[in-house]
Amino acid sequence: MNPKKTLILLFLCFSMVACRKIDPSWEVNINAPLLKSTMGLGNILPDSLLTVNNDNSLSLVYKYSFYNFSLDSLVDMPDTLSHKYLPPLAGFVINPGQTFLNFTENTKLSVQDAEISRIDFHSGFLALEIFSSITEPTIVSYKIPYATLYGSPFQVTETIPAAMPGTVLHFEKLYDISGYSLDLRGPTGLSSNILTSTTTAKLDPSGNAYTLDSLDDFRFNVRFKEISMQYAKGYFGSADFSFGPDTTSIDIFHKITAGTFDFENITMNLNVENGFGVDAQVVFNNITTINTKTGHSVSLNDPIIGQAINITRGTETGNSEQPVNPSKYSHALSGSNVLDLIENIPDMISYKIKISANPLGNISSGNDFYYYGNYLNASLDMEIPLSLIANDLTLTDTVDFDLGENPNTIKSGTLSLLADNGFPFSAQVQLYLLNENKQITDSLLFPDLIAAPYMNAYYTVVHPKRSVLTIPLPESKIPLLYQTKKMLLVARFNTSGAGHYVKIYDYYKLVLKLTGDFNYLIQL
Amino acid sequence: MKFKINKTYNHFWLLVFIMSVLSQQSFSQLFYSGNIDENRYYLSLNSELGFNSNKLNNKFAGSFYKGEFLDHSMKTDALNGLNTTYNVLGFLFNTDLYVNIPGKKNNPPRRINYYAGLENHNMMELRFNRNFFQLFFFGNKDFTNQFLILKNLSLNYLNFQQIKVGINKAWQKNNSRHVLTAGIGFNNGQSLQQYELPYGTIYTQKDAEFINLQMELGMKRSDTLNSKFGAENGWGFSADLGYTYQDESNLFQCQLEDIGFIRWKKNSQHYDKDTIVYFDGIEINNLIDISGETISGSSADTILNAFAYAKKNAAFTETIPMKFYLSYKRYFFKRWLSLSVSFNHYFFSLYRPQIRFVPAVNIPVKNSVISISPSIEAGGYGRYNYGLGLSAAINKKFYVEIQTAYLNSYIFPKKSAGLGGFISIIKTL
Repeated sequence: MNPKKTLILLFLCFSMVACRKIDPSWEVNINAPLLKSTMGLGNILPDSLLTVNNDNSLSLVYKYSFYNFSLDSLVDMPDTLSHKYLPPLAGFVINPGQTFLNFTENTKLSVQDAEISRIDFHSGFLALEIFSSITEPTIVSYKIPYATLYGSPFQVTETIPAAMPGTVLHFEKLYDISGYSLDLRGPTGLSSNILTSTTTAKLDPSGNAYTLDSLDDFRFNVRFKEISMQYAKGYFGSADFSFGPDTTSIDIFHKITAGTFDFENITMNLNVENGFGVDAQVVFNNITTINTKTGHSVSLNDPIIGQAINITRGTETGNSEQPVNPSKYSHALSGSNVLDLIENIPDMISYKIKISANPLGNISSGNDFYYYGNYLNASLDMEIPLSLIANDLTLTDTVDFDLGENPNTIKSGTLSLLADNGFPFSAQVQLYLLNENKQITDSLLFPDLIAAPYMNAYYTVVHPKRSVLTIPLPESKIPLLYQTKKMLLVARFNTSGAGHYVKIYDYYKLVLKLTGDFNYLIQL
Repeated sequence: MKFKINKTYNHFWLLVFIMSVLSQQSFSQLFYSGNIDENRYYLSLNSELGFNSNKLNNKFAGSFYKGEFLDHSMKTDALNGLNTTYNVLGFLFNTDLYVNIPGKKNNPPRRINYYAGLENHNMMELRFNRNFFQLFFFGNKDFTNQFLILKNLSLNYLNFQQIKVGINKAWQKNNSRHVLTAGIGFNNGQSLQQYELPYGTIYTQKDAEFINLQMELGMKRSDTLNSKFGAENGWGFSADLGYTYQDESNLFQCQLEDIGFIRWKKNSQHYDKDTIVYFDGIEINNLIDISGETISGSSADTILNAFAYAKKNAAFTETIPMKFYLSYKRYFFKRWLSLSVSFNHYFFSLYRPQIRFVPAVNIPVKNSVISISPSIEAGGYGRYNYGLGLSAAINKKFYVEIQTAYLNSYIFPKKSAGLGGFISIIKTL
């Protein structure tokens, strides 16, 4: 080879070597904290349901509402208010500015046997829809003279563009009617369910004359859309309504998947509150709690079941902030099987209720009323002082887990769980490794218990107790960890009162720290 | 991909072998070259590559460089060889290309030459203590329940290019020749990264319940958006000065190169922070209900965020490493033998003063001279090294030199450090 070329080649090699990427690897021993968590009872039961008693013990306070019965349930407001069309008038010439449609109508709203005299809208829209084949612009006005806001009637005027020859133009627009008060007594002021409206249509004065032919189409629809009422008055009718059998979820104990608990005491009331301006009669035909995990159901066994509860209407206060003083009915379920109902650890509740509105007819002489947000409501109210015995009470949760896409970086190691337990429970923790299909591939069992702390003569925890639980992670288990996409956490609790009820206090905490001692492969 | 890298190693070791049997570190030809006809135009191309450490041996560094697995015994050997407080690892890769332009010859022994050229500089310097090495290569477990002290750590990367022009003025007096050199340069700052940790401690609690870090940190870096070759992230100027004395038996050279600075532009970043970081695990509000939270690599971001200090974006000025070179060469036996001793130092860097001794055998062959020059040196980034070089000056029209100063490191990789060499090619036009 030519000596010069050789030297140039050497120089290029030299430069290439200088720019080379390096990627060595080595193992290090890492000892580091990984995760920490401080848990109170609020982490197991919904925090919002816990109340602190005077002695700092905790109670679970829960209200289950069966159904809100309101005007919507009783009166079905019609959507369509007006529907008009121009009759075929072939050869009729409409001059610019000439009114060709003008009518006032008193529409009788179809609201069953209700006789409504006034409605105030909380929110909603009035939809104006026009179909026109007239090839000149038209001006359309719609007015509801007895719908007023600050004294002004509802009125809209729209210019409808000219249709293309041979086509029908579709125009639609929504108008906000929030805050409008609608008088449904009609022109005489003595009727009910009457909606008076005026509609006019004329040719645009700046346009050209238009000759109608037999195929011309001009239609006009007005309807309510998405309305809710702020206030309503009248007679709302008399009717019976049945709700259920209906089953809904109850989310107090949804994390508990197995085991039993035994509460010392439970207070439970069946309450009916009527903020609706109609008299009512309520019958609870059935209330059942269901544990779908065990398939076990417990029905309420109490004399109230099947018994008619008469509840009078609420009274108007004249105070706009709180316009209704509801009437109330409460029945204590003290002699019933409520402990069985709760100790079933339900995740669903099933009920069947019958409600009769105005069972005695129009005894208010058209003075039934409704205020927004005030309903006839039935609920199950319970207070459970957390003084209990737990046996293998099992909580489970699935956690997303991803060690990343660089396998073989962790060679082996040990996980340590440092637990400072302030609860009067012992606990056993197990982690299950799940693959992408949520199938269990392996488990990481902490062989020891999180020990329960010492309790005094009053079955109160004096000092938290520290337990150190370790899980060896041999090299053989590491590939499984990298394949794991989710982890199933299972924690099993047992109270330590030797058969005595133990109270749970607000200040009880379980402090958990997970540390790792890993042999880790570093690759640059 | 792996195959390609291995192939690169083969080229590297081939080059190392060739350089190991050849000779003398030199300066760029902007100052003076007695090996080429200065009355003619000539081009010179020089490149030096050097890695060295005062404590890390070549066995370890070579394995690191080659991307091998660093096993426990290799790491332990390297660890045992370290100083407790001061260890340095440096890397230099400098290349330049110059053209010599002969000026008018005034009264015969006087003459003026001009030169112009380009230079590229890449430098990396790491200073660390023994604890840092142990933490980095062994992990923190050995330091559980004790304070790990990190002191005077720094990592610097500097890449810049230069355009230089200058003048050589030579005159003859009696039997001696004197050359004065002066030049200026424009510096283009490609990239700069400076990380400093003057003092820091790491404490790992005995059960690893928490790790406590106390750190004084400093950082300066240029715009990271583009740091490729030629990126214009800073600019500056520099000057070079030199003097050469030569007679029949003596050659004396004194040179000062790169007296200058780079003003890094306004998108550069810097911060200084004295901080304490307490880490006791990633907090999970509810271990029994962590739906939506994923324990994954993203958790590392949470930890890193603890170190994410507010950076200031602002321009700043840094001096560039300034090289000082002093050498004396004495010829014997009608120039068949020469002995030279030189002093070499980079100011504004971790490079320590270096002394170098080079005996050379110069063999005349027709109109050419072939030199074989073993060398021994102490200082710089390393401790002491010896090397070998070979050069050929052919009829004062072509000169080639190739050498390495790290022969001992190839022969005894477990006991010494240093890797690299020097190539110079000069050709008249």
